[in-house]
Amino acid sequence: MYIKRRWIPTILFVSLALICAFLSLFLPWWSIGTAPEAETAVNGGVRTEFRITKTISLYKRTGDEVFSLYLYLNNVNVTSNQGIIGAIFSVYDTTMLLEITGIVVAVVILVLAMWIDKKVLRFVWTIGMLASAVLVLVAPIYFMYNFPQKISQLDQFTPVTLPIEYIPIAPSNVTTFFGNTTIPVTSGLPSWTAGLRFWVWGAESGFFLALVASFMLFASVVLIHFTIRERK
Amino acid sequence: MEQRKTPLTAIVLMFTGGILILLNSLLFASGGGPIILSSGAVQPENVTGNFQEFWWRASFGIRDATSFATLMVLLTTAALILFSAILLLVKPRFSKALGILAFVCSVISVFSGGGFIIGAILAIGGSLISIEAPKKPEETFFGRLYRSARFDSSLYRSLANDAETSKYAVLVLLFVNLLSGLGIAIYAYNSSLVVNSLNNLPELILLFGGLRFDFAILMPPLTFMGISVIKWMILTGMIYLVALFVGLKPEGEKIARVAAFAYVPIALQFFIPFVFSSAAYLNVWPTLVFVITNIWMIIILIAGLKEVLEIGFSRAFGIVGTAGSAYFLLNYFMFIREGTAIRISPTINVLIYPEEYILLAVFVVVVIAALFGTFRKR
Repeated sequence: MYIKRRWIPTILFVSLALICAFLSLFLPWWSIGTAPEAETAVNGGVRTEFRITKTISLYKRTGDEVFSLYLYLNNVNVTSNQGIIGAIFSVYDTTMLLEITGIVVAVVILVLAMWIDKKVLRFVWTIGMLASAVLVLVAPIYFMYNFPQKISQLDQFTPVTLPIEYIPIAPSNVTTFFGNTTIPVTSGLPSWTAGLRFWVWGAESGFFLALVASFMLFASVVLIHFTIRERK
Repeated sequence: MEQRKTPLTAIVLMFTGGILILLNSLLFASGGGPIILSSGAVQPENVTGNFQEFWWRASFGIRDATSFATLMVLLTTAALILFSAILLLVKPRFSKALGILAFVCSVISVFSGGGFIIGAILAIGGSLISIEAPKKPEETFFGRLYRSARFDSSLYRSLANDAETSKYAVLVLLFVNLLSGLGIAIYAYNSSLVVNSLNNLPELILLFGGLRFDFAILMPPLTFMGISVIKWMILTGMIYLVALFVGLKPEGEKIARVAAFAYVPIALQFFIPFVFSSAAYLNVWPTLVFVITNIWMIIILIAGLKEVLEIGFSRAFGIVGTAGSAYFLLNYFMFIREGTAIRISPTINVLIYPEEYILLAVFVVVVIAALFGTFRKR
């Protein structure tokens, strides 16, 4: 298909949005780990990252020694209750389905809009692109509201053994999507850490990239509108 | 309908800046805080306590801008800069509105590290060029700032010959001093917290990229903008007098325009708060930036005067050295030294001890100027 020159900026921008949406599928969406201040205090740290591709990454540092692991979630002995794993997988599946549907709809709309470049269909193409943007936006919102409920029912976040000086945390402490625990005065850690964060959890790069992709797809609606209207 | 010319330079700058800002914002958001580069891992007592080693860190982003709402704003601004760049390609006649949108977004992006600083500079440059489209990029406000910073002799010639550029000269002074004042005030305020706080603020600021703000930091930029006009007139006057003394026929207005544009590198002092060092060495970084930006300013002034006064390098060097020494003495004793009439706070004052060294330095500069043949009448 011959691509008209005036479509190039729109193609470029939509492609950028779609690359962001596609990359987000493989990047971590949520993580829990030690805050920088806690890592300085204990000279180490732990981090668990969750991906919607049903994998988790584990990082552990003790002094100069670094340990990292990349595993499929159902192979990791993080829970004795496989039903919860199934529930988490269900959240992952729905999120991924929404995201992929959004990407596919955006590609189809872009190709159709370039192919049938008629002013009378401008409304259809803009609504179509709007629908793809909404789908890509709904994916992280759905994940945000459903993931914490499921993850809080796990037995533990990480199969690695935590050092004794770490302030313990149980998945049941995680009731919100973003959050942290603070270091009490009586923690035994240096006095300057009192009141600062020990554990932090929240969205990761994949989640944010999906949101950025949806913003860009919303902006693409304006671009498509202008590109079609320009036609003499 | 007349088709406006596409401002390609603005688009490229905004797009490149937008990509860098997006990357920086994503790293900032997913890391839950600023990206910190440092000279090495260190324990807090080694940077805040009595026995300190030299240590530095550069922080891209502010630790306290990590709430979900703030992150959403920061990511949206990055996407909006990219959108503005692309829409500018499709609709060049919206250049002013898109430029303003991208400018505001670029300024906001500083809270997440400003696309490793470079991204924000590029995006701000692109947006300023876009606002002034369809002017040629090199004739816009940002274009002139850039050309001045890279010693473009054609700019200095156009400054000398075009009286219309006087408004740009005043704008440069205000813009530069606003940025410099903000940077200095934020650094000075946070440095005072590092030195004087009894709680964990020193650790938060030095190790984890925290920055605190107060209404007091708005005072130095405003004062700097006010004083800048006086300093500018002093510098112009000194150059004019020295040029007259050595037998040239200077025109005050032309010198004034070049002198204003010589201040451009001082704007880089805005970036001082991105870097902090261990508490005992907090004065090292701003002093280094002051020295570099002022040397840069001197070189611009020499390059500019060469064109305006139509003289050689050695004479221009001599005139700038002699006039600059007098300007420095007045500036130092009027605005910088302890016990001066105008006290600005919070600010950074680079003081020289013992003060006799200042006079020695001035003497050396004047002797070098004489050896360069500056005072030989032709």
